[in-house]
Amino acid sequence: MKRSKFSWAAVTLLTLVTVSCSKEAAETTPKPAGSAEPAATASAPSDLPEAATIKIYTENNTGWPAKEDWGVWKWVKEETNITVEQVLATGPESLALAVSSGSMPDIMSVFPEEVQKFGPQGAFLDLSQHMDKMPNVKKYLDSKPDVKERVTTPTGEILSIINDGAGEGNQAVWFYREDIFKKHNLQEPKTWDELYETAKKLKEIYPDSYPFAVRHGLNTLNYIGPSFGIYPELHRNPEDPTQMKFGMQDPAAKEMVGMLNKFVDEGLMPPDWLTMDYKAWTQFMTTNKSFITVQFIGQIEIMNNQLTEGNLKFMPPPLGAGTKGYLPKGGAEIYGLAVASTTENLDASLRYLDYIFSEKGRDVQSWGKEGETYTLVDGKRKFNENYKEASDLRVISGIQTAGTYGWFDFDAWMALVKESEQPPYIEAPKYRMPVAGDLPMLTAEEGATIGPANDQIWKYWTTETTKFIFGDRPMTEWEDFVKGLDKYEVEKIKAAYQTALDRQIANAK
Amino acid sequence: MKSTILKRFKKDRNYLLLLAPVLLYYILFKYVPMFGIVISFKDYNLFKGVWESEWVGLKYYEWFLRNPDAWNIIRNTLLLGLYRFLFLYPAPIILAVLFYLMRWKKYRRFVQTVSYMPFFMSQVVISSILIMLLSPSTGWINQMIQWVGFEPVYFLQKAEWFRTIYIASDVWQQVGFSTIIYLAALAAVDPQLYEAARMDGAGRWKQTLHVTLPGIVPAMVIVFILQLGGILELSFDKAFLLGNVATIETSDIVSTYVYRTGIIGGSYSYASAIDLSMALISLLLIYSANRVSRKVGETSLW
Amino acid sequence: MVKRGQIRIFDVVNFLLLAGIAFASLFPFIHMASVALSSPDYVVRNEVGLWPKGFQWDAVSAALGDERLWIGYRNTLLYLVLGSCISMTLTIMGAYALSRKSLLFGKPVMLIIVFTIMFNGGMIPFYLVMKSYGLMDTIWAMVLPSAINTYNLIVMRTFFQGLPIEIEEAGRIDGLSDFGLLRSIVIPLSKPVLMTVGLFYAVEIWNSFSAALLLLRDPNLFPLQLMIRNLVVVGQSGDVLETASASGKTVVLESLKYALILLGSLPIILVYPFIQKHFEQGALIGSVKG
Repeated sequence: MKRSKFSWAAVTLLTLVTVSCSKEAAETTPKPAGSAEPAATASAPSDLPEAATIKIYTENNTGWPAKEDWGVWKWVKEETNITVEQVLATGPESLALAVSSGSMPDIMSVFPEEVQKFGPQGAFLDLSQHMDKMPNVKKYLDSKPDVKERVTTPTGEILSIINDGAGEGNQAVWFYREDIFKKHNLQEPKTWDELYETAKKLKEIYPDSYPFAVRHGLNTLNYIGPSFGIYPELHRNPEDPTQMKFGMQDPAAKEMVGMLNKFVDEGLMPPDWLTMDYKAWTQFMTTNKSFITVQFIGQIEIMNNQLTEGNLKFMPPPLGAGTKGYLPKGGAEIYGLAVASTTENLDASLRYLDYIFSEKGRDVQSWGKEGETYTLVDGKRKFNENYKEASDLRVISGIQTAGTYGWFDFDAWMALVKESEQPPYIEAPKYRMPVAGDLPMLTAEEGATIGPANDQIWKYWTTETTKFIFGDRPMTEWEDFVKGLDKYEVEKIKAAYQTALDRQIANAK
Repeated sequence: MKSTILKRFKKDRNYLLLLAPVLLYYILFKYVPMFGIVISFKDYNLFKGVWESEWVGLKYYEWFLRNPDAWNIIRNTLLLGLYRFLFLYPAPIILAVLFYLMRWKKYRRFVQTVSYMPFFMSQVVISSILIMLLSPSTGWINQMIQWVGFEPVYFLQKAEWFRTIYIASDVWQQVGFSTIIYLAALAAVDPQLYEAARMDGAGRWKQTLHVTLPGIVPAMVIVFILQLGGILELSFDKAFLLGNVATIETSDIVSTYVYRTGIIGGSYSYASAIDLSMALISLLLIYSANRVSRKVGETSLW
Repeated sequence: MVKRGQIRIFDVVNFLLLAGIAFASLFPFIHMASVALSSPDYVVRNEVGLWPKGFQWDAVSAALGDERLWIGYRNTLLYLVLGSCISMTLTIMGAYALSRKSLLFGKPVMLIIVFTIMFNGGMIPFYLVMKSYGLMDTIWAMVLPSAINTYNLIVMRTFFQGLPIEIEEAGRIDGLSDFGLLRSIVIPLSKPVLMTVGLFYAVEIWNSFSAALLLLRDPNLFPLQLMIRNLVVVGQSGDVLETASASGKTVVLESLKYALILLGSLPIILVYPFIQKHFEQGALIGSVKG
């Protein structure tokens, strides 16, 4: 009795499923045929290389959900006769799974850490062996020695090519509520002491507020640190870029942590800044609860659009220690492109790379095509009406999204940034720290000697620093903390990376 | 001797026939992947594969033991698992009995239906709602605490709160759904037993104590063994999402550590070595649980 | 059963306790529904509590217009039906055989089975083996690797063992074979446990996404939960508050997320009350026992 009922239900469900299945299929099939096909056939000149299809693995961003009919892929097809299938990341583990299964997409967007992790295992093709097929890539690398230095492994291989051009957006800057400052006759703080005084005054005027707000939790120290002349972890010494240093060992780190401790203690920063996400931060910035912040440069415009009254303005980083307050070294990209060592579409993959790093590819993948995305007005390019702000380039056409470009023309992006929002892009580079926080590449053996020590030291300094900031450990014990770093083999790690840095410098010469 | 086995085989052949596909399943989907654990003794290279990778002996086990935090991580895992078990095991039993004693059937069914709903929410969603609720500056819980006149509590930035939050939210999420097995057991209790108890003059408490509870003891025993065995299976998602550098002293458990060093750090061999160590501890736990329950089970089942 | 009579203090306390539990359980759903139905201004400022502010359907209609939701539904239903059938069949077979007290090899087999609760090879080996079986990007990836849940198998076995021996003997006298006994006596008598275990399997399949995460690459095979999880995880990592929906309107990501989660859990919430009554029908077995 029960059984018959169950199977009846099963049959009904199955029927439902099949019906919806076939409906789905009927609805979806005509779409690709209708959208992609005619454009490709109509404009394909006869001198194009033979048709090919490659898979490209990219990030998956809800802000600009990937679409099959993005202009960027259409232009690739028109220019190179390559059809691109975009494979989206489904989470932080996606790349690890793709690599470990051996069924990798032909081309992958990768971070330097991922190259360091999977490169020695043999996941990626050594592109230096194929430069003869990629004259444009070679030209690109020759014109950018810093990029070339970053992508060359200790053994001279090139496993990925780091993008360039769009890094201007990857810059954390300081900004504040200009209207509030004016209203209360406050000046832009030049130093951290002034910042502290200003925040205190704001707190008096707005007792419910937390004048200084950040997000990204403790990672924020990477953005605040440069105003004290350091990054918190391992990085090249800005005074002598041939040496590695560990930021937390520098006396300036004590200044920084002590300062943050005062801010938290006196309610000048939200008590939950460690766990604040983007939404919480937005809420503070748009409801007169916070007035000063450190964030990515594009957020100034985004927040100004959200503010019902008042406006945010860029300010130079306040000086915390040393002679000059810095911003982190932005302006460089971190994403790069790698080719799978197992690819079966080697020629097409190389052709794709060569195209996006060529002058023509740079132009088309950044601006689109005349008539289609922009028109010429008085000899200057003007994007069509449907692109209202810069991020529309991503949403509508996929321009400046991972994997779709190699060498970006940032003028295309700036063309859609409001004139009133452009000054920060000109100002910020003046304050960049001379060195970035990225690390030289280790050999597999060097990596093995370090083992899990990197994680252990990370855990140690973050835990203890947090205690200092939140007042759970008195600042008088700072020296003990610094001594404690030795127990976690800080010198050993530093030495390993120093060797790697020496080699990188020697190779560059 | 041989003939008896043959005889028993003949007698049981239909049952063995039913068992065969089940056994096959276990071999194919559980035991074959288990041999992958050899990578913890090897320098596993993704492209060389399991068999071609070099043997390195106990290197990765040494790595873990050399870590000054190893003991702290194991301790966090054990304590979190143990406390979680202490609360998560009895909670559904109590709730099931409360349901059972609720006289207003429609209300009971309503609460029952509603109480299992959190079970269908993913940890990611729950964590983001928790972070919102517990914020000391904007969260509703702290607003209530302040409204009553206390100082706000920095729940997610104090190491001593982490376990409480983790376990409380686990109980909240699972208690309703976990009552199902007990409710099924309660439904199977013979009504005549209640009749008999009432005849003997037993009141409601006595009936609960002498009829209702014994009725669900078998279910309790099974759940006990299985939950004790899974004591170290702590949700990675939640520990990862709710933990932060301020609470890492209590929130860093084996799974988050394995994630950092294994998945993010790319050292699968190291991750497997830690996994195996924890599995051995788990094995020990379930073995002792089984011994305990065999004793308890025998006395209380009848 | 409990005698009907006057209301005691205990009943009042019990009533209030359960009311608290009901509220705690419902709260996030009400909150999510409110956010899903509120206008972006209020959502961004975190001003939405238990009631929508600036009521609007944009996020819900965007979610309904999202193709991925329906693909997810279709896939999840398919996995649910197929998976539950396979799982139940295998579990009943195994539990029935193992419920024989004197079964040949019964003990070692049971040990082999229980051992798998405590021990597994970890993610990467599992993944490699499943791949070598050719399960990648097939619907079997969603139903075979998790076909038997050892916990459920033991629950069912224990229940079968508890069935009164007299009935079985009566069945034998009526000339029933081993299979006939299972079909016409054991299964009909085990309705509550079959319902329970069936529900466990259904819920497990409904909630599962890790197998999909590991073994499915083709978005057209993604179950609902994986789709939701991707949206939530990916949404968290980006500097994004708003997203363009399929209909071209801009909606707050959080509203869209919650709308999808609610729509995604609706079916199981609606179906459950109908299953629930079966748990209360176990009296039959008790009467046989007595």
